[in-house]
Amino acid sequence: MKDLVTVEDLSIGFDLRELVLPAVDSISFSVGTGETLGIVGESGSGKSLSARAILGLLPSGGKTTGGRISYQPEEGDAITITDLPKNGRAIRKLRGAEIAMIFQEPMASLSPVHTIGNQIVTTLRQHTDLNKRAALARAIELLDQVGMASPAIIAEQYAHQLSGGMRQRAMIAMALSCSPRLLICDEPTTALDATTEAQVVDLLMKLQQDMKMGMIFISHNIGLVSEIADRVMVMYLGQSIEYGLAGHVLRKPAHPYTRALLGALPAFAEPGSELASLQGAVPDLAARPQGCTFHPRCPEYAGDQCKTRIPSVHVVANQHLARCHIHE
Amino acid sequence: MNEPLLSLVNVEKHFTQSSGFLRPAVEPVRAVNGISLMIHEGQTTALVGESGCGKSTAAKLITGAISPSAGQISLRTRDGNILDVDRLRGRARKALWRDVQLIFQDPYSSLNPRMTVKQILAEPLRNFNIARGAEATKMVEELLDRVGLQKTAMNRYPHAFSGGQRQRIGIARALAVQPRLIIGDEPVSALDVSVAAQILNLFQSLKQELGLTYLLITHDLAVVRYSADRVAVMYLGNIVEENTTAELFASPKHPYTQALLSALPSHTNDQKSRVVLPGEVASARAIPSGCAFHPRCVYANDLCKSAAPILKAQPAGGRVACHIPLESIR
Amino acid sequence: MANAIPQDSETLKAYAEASGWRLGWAKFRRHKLALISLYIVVLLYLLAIFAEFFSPYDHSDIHRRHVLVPPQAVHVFDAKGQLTWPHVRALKGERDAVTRRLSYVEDPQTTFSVRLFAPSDPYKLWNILPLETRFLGVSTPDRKATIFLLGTDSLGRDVLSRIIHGARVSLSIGLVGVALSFVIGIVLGGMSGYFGGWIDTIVQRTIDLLQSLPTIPLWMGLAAAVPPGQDPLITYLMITVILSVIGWTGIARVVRGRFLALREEDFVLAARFSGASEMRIILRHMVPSFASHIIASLTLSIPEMILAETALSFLGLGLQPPAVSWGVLLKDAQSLQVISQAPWLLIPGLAVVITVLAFNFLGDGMRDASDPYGKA
Repeated sequence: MKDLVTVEDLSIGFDLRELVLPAVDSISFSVGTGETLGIVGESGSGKSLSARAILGLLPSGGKTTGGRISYQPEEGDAITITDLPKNGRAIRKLRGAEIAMIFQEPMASLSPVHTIGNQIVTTLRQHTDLNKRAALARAIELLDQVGMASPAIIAEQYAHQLSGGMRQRAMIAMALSCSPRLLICDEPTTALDATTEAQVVDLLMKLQQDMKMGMIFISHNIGLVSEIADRVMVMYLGQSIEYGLAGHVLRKPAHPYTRALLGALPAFAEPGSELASLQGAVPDLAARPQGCTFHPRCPEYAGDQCKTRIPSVHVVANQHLARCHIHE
Repeated sequence: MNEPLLSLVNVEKHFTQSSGFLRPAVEPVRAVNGISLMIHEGQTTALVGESGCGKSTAAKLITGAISPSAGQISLRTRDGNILDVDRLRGRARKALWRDVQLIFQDPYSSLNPRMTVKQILAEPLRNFNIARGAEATKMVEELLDRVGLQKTAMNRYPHAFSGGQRQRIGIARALAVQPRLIIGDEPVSALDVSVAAQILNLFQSLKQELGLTYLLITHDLAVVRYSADRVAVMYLGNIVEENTTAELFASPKHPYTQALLSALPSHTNDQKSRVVLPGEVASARAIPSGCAFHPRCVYANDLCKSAAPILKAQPAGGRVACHIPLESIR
Repeated sequence: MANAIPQDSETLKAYAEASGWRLGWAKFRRHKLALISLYIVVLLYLLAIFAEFFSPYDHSDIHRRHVLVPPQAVHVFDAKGQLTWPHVRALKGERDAVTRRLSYVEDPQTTFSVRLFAPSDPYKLWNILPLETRFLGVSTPDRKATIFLLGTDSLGRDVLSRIIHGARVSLSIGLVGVALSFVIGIVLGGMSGYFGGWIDTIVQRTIDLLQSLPTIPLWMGLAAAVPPGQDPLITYLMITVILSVIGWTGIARVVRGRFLALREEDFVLAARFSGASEMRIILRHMVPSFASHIIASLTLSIPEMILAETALSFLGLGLQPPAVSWGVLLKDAQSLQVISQAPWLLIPGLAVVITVLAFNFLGDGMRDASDPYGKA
């Protein structure tokens, strides 16, 4: 199986005029057809930035400072996304048509002044040569596909008339309009209630199977990710600190941070027992610790080397990588 | 069992909008529809539900921030009197806040950015005539120590603290009056996972040291299972199930509770069966007839559509508002 | 992205213990244009306060031999092209044989050195302090020695001196007017925002009404009610009151908006739970949070007042000569003839522009700095 997207040694920084603040530090991963990669991390871990870089959608001031991202289209040679001009024709052709993205806050990506149907029609007509009528029929079909009860009525409505869960479905329908081969989901359920989250996750998994999409699922919720993803990458302060099959990472976490994250989850803890909490908070990007970035909070602190030397990536098991001195 | 610390009897809160010129009459928002709940001293009670279920309105009613449309809320004060919370207005509510304090969800907006930590913490000490001057300073130091912050924090302003540390300051402020009931309104949902664990641990140890009673308002069932003794599940303004945490998680009796629980991640089985509910939560302006949950319930029959079930005590313990509780189906 | 938090312990401590005002000042200082504007505003007010000292002449001194003199140059090279001490040259009036128009030519042979802290005829600062020194002047008491850096008007009065004296009225009317508006605005806006209900409705509809009235006719009507021939001080106060009638509405809106926004803040609810009385909540918890916003919006409304006074006086509805204000001075430049023959009489307009721009930039900077906790 050929990988859809390959990210190698990608680094992203923020240009603050005086200095470039590193936000993502040489991460590598790949996603194949029909495969789901979960990216987990707390705020400031760089998980969203890494995924946005694939679409060339970095926030202002952000830029890739190293590494490459390549995309393998259905036919022809691989395209190196990092070489494409920012917001040029080439990247815009990929965006939406081949690689689509859904966000935490659907209101931010749905237009408040156009009906849901209209917005899907516009996207469809940008990337395909459907006429207006056919595009509208397809839009209604898509809304039906994402589980909207009366798609023809929803197509006539505006985003603010829908509930949170329905907006998320509408955004999914829009993202799927051109049958993308890769779908990037950035915290798609964080703003939703538990039962609505269940509905959306269920829908995403079903759609992925039907459409054989590759998927990148970004979340701070390691429990949720482990349920959806085939492989998981755990990030801390811009670095990938553990990478492996979801089952491995969840059952036998190899990095102290992953262990702490799992231990800190009340869902996995004995009622009333003390949660394995980490000291302090995630440091500011501008104040990234020396050596291993996690050492000031690490419960398994292993001496001076953690303070002084950046740990290298170690293979701890088959397809299971961890960046920690304890595996030397 | 002894007298409850706080009891709610058939409490209702409907928000009406006055109709008038150019303003058509609208259906009132029925946020809370007659809930009854008892909170016992030393226990942690959790009120869970999804957004719009009325749990935050319930918290506001108990703290006296708003008054109920109907029903009684009574609190047993520290000197043994019964305080009718539902009748308190204006300055009379000060007596309530001596015993009941709130911890806010957002650690950023709940601290005044223009006051130092010392000023923030000394505020309740001064207003309730607990301590002033040097004595207050000493108490502030003790409070900071209690929530795991250093004395040097006193002269700092909130902007110098992270979200978790700010939440600790908020907890210290609530503890200043030595309240007996602390209401946590989603106290950890704005925090990172590792920081949320620190705060949950702090709650746990404070409960043991000070014998506090908690009412935890949250949508996060994992937090509930971890820290609560009893749980009440709310759906569209009503309590649909209430039980001890262990019982409720082991055998939910209401179909809604069952669906909520299935969304919880767990170590043991990674291919577990999520119960996916059909449809959407109805609006609190147009609550379905009969059992409010029936349009989304797979077990619903004709009775559910016409008659609202009442919250009944079950033989095996706990209370459920369902015509056909789950055990009878299995 | 969050503000970068300083790391070493000393600056960290200073940052952690910095009050809102300190953080605001730090943020303000980064706004270069606002900082420059602050210096300009301070300079203008210093000029206005010590007007007698800074102006080379008295504003009503009439130089009959020097009528409509164009701005006089300060030379640093003498007739032979040698670098010398800055000096002005004597002026000789010449009449054109055909048009009979008077024009002035410099006499390069008769020079007078320019001096700082030059001796002058005795005068009184603020009408009390007798002085015989001015900031700028020429070194001899010679009648021919003149220094009209911005020229003279049709009666032979020094324009620079008149601008400096006019600044007194024009700059102070902004402050006094804003102070008056502020008192009305904060009381009515505060009541409107805090109590809400019918009080809010009445105050807001009154504001709507006042703001919908066309200002110039309203001022004209009110100014017509000011009896002419009064003591200039009375006229001055009446004009301020007229300006404040409209001026308070903007401030009231700002105050009300801040009250409404803050009332919903969690920390205000927390203060209530902490047992604070309503009065204490307003004074201790709410007012400090919006004081800086109010100061910023007050600063932004000062230039409006200055412009309004200028407009009124320009139309002849405000202050009347012999009082001087920038508007009164501009009134002298109303005819096309003046503009073509003595364009320097328009210079008071430049003073208005500089002042208004400086206040606007200053206000912008203060508005940005008034919320030092926002994102950088």
